[in-house]
Amino acid sequence: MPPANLQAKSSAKSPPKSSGKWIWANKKRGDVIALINGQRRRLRLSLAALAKIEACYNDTDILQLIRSFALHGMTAKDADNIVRAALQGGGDEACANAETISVSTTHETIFDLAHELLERSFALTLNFQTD
Amino acid sequence: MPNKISHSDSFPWVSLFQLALTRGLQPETVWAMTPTELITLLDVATQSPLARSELQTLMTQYPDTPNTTTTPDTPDTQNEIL
Repeated sequence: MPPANLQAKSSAKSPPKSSGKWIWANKKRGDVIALINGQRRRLRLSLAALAKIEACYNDTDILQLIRSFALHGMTAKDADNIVRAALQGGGDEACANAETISVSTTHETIFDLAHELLERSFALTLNFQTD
Repeated sequence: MPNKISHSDSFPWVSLFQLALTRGLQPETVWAMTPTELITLLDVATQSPLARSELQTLMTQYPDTPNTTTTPDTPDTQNEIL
């Protein structure tokens, strides 16, 4: 997977704007809406997405990975893997395979988005560190 | 729903899928679910129905007896007001 573009265009946590496409997020399911590459997109860390993340780390157990992210922090590549998997989980294959991913407006950085995805998916409150 | 991950836990892929499939969920449906969604669903599905002893306890606590303050001949004052 190509590295994420970590340039956050805005630090404001305002509601998603742009793109005429209306997307609904079912927060109870663990959905997260983010403005990525200029469009509102639905992200979901489904079981298939979690299996994909495990595959990115030689099939390391997902709970072990989450513990590791919480203890040792998350790299840009880690966040990129999580966001791309969640894009696939939300049904956005095209964006999941895009060359670069740029998160703007909805989340301060791609790390914030990755954290929120994991928290929503597992209904957890995690204290993450970022490198 | 647990809000902590213990250090010895590993994700219960096999048992979750086995449980989901025995509840009649299709694999593609399960793969599209988040863990929180699936666990909530399975929690509801595995809740046992009310046991006879529990029903008896409830019947003892809340007996189905007529209300002594109101008899069929006594007019319902609330209805009169309305």
